[in-house]
Amino acid sequence: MTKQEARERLMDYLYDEMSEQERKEFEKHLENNPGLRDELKELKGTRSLLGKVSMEAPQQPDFNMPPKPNSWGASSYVKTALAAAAALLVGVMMFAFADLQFGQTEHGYYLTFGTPPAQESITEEAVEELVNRLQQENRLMAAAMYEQLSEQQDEQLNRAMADLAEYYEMQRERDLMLVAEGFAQLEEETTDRFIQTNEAIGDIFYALYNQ
Amino acid sequence: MLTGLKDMDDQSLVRRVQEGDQEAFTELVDRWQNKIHRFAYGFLADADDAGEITQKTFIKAYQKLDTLDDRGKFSSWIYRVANNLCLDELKRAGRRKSTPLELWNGQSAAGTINPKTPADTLETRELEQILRKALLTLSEEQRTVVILKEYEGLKFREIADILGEPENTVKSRLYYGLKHLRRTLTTWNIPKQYLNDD
Repeated sequence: MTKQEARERLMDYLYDEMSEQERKEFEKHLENNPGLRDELKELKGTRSLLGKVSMEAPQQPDFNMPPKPNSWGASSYVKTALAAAAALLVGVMMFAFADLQFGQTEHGYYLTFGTPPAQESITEEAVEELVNRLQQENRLMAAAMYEQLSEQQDEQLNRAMADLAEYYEMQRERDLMLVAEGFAQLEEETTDRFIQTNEAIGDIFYALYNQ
Repeated sequence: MLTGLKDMDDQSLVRRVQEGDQEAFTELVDRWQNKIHRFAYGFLADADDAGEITQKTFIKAYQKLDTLDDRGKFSSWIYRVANNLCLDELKRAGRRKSTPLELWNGQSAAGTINPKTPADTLETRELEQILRKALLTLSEEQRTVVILKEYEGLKFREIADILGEPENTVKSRLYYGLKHLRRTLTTWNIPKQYLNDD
């Protein structure tokens, strides 16, 4: 069993998330592993302390339900159906009360209120003017769309840069934390070794002195 | 109707909410409000923030419950929403946890341990404050796992589901989280008897 596996099994054992068979096997492993037994004892101690206090907060406010949406407006289907019905009604009213004329000329069909339009043909100049106007409007629309797209892209880029900076900051802090933890552990181990060495030297001096 | 709702499991309640039953959502809130609030309080160690997070969690749940495909996973889902809101709150407020650098500098849980209290006894209230501060020294990931395991009593599999992480990662974080807490509390000169398994 690797150290990593032993740790994971230890957690399963600590929190009683093992089958009976697994528990017996792990207990056998513990019998032959005093280091792991000490770890288990420490973890149990920490858990015991955590269990001594509850994490209940002071009285919390009751959750306020958001207002119930109006059932008339709740369904988009209802809205669409109502809008279609209203449009149909308006159309029927217009047909019923307006002097709607529908007919056919040599150029095509017409639909109008009142007197049908005079039969005029459109000149070449008028067509050209219409086309130019359409082209100009298209150019303006394209320019406006391009500007909007550029703005959106700039905004996205700025947001991405801010997120990246924040990510690096978080990573830096995590790294600092790991370094500090390493130092803390090193200090603990060094202190233990120092104490052991002192004790050994003391024993040697004592033995020498008492020879 | 209300009696019927109280007998329903979460899965059935979620289905009813998705069908438009607001009473069913009220029942879900009643069941989960305290747990979410306790989780948020353990994470942020501030009652006001915990209250706000609880509200936001259920508002979000109310708005987004129709996106929950697997109704049986409501508990993981609601904890995940709460956890993400807690993390967002930390980012938004620009809050940083106490880092072990403070431990390294030998600072104790300043002002928490009453100097008049005998060295071998601590009042429960003092202990609570100390533990909350100690929890804040953990990374957000370790803190989440410790709270969900120790105070919400969830299984490793459930926590892994909430966080979208492998089970072994959850166990590893819990292991290092508990070790870190012990080291922190020892550095803060917590009487040894409190750290023994009695």
